[in-house]
Amino acid sequence: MNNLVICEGLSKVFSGCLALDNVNLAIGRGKVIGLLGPNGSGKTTLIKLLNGLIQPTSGSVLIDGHGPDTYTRSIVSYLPDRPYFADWMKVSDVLDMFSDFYNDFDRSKASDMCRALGIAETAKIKTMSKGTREKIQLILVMSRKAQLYLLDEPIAGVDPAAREYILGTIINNYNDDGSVIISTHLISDVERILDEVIFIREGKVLCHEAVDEMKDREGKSVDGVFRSYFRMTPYAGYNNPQGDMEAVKGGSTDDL
Amino acid sequence: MTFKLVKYEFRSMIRLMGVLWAGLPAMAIIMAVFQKIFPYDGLGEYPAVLNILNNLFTFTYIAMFIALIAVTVIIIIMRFYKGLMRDEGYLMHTLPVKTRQLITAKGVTAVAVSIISMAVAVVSILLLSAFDGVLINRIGYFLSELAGLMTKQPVYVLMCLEVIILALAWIMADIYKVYASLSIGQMAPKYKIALSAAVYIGISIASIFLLTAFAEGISMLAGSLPQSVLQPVQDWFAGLSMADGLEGVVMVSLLLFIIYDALQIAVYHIISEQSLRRRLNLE
Repeated sequence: MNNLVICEGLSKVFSGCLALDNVNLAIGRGKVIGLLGPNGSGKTTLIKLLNGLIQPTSGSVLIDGHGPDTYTRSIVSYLPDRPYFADWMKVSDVLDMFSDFYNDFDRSKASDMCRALGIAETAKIKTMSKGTREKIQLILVMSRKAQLYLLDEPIAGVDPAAREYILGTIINNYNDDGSVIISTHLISDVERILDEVIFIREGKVLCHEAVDEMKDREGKSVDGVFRSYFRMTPYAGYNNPQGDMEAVKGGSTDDL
Repeated sequence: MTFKLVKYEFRSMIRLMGVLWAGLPAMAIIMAVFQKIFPYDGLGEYPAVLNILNNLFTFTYIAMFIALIAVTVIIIIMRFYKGLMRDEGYLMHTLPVKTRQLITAKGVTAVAVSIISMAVAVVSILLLSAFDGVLINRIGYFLSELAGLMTKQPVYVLMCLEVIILALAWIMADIYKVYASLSIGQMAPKYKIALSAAVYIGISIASIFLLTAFAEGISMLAGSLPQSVLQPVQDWFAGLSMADGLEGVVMVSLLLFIIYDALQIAVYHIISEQSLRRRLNLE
C-alpha cells in the first residue's frame, strides 16, 4: 500500500454542527504536509479522527491500512494542541513512560534535547511555563522514529524565535520514511518546509496539492494563495462605513 | 503493557496519597505518646496549653482520618476521569495499548489504593492504642481465639478467605460501577458529569433489582432440586459444621455474592471498554 493515510467520505457532526464534510484524502509517505485553514475550519477535528480520539459520524480513516487501533498508535507520533501531562509528572517520568511504551522512542536523543534546551529532567512539569511544556511535548514527539507525525498547531502561541526552533527541530528529526502533517494557520512560518498543502475551510477540503505545483500555477507563495482563498472583508465599523481599507490602514489590503 | 500502566498509575497514586498515608499513622503516634505522658484522666490538672494541644491533636487526627477516606474516593474517581476523559486522555489514548488494559490498570490500582487506605486507617487506630495495654490484650485474645478456631475447624480458613475475596470483589465492583457511569457520560456532547451521575443512580437501582432477582433465582433453583441431589450437600454441610450446617450455608451465600460481584465487574468492564473504544469523545 503506497498511501500512508486514506480518508474516505469522512464527516463529523458536533451537536448539530458539521465540523468535517465528506473529506476524501490520500497522503503518501516521506512528505511534509501542511494542513492549512483558518481557526475553526476542522483541522483539529481531522487530526483527532486520525488518532481515534473522536469517532467519525460517517466515512472511514485508514493509516497504513488500519483503522485507528493499537497498531496505528504505535506508528503515529501525535502532538496535541494542549498539554497532556498529569500533575504529578516530572520530565523524567514522561521520558520513562515513552521509553516503556514506544519501541521507536530514542531516550538518549530526548535527554540530549532536554539538555540543549536547559530543561532539567528532575523538574516537575506542573511548575513549568506553557512554552516549556510545549517544548517537552515536541521533544517527546520528535524523539520517536514514527511513520506518521501529526502535529496540531505546533507553533501557535509561541514567539518567532521559538517558532524557528520548533520548525528546525521538526525538519531535522523526523523519520525520512514517514510523513509529517502540520496543522496551522501561520502559513508564512511553515511554508518553506512543506512539500504539500491541504487547504480546509468549514470542514471541506478545498485543495490538496504539491507546494511547487501550486506556486508555479498561482505565481505566488503558499501564504499568498492562502490569503486569496480565505480573504475576508473586514467589518467596516461606524467610522468607515464605506469599508475603505486604505482609510483604515493607510495602505493596500494585500499588506494585511 | 498492563503491568507498565499499573506502574505509572500507582506512582501517581503514591504521589497524591503519600502524605496522608504517612501523616495519619504519624499523627496517631504523636497522640499516643502525648496521652501516655499526659493521660486523659489527669488533663484537668495540667496547664491550659496542654489541654489545647490535646484538642488540637485530636481534631487534626479526626480531620486526617476523614480526609483519608474522602481523598481516596475522590482520587480514584478523578484519576479515571482526568486520566482518560480530559487532557491527560490525549496521552493515554494514544499509547499503543488496548482500551481494556487502560481500564484494568486503573481498576487494579484503585483497589490496591483502597486496601492501603483501609490498612492505614486500621494501623492508625492500633497505634492510637499502642500504649493501651487492655486493648492490645483484647486484640491478642481475639486473634488467638480465631487461630484456635481455624486449627480445629479448617472450614473457617475457607470462610475467612471467602470474606476477603468478597470484600475485594465488592470494592472492585463499586469502582467499576463508577467507571462504567463515567464512560457512558463522556459520550454526551454536554453535561457529561450530570449524565454520569444519572447513569450511576440508574445502574445502582438496576443492580439492586438484579441482586434480588439473582437471590430469588438461586432460591427457586435450590427449591426445585430433588432431595436426592440436596441430601449429599446437606450431609456435607453437617459434616464440616459445628452449628448444624450453618457454616455451610454462610459459605455458599458468600460464594454466591462473590459470583454476583464478579458478574457485575465483568459487565461494568465491558460497558466501559465498549464506550471508550467505540464512542470515545475527547471533544
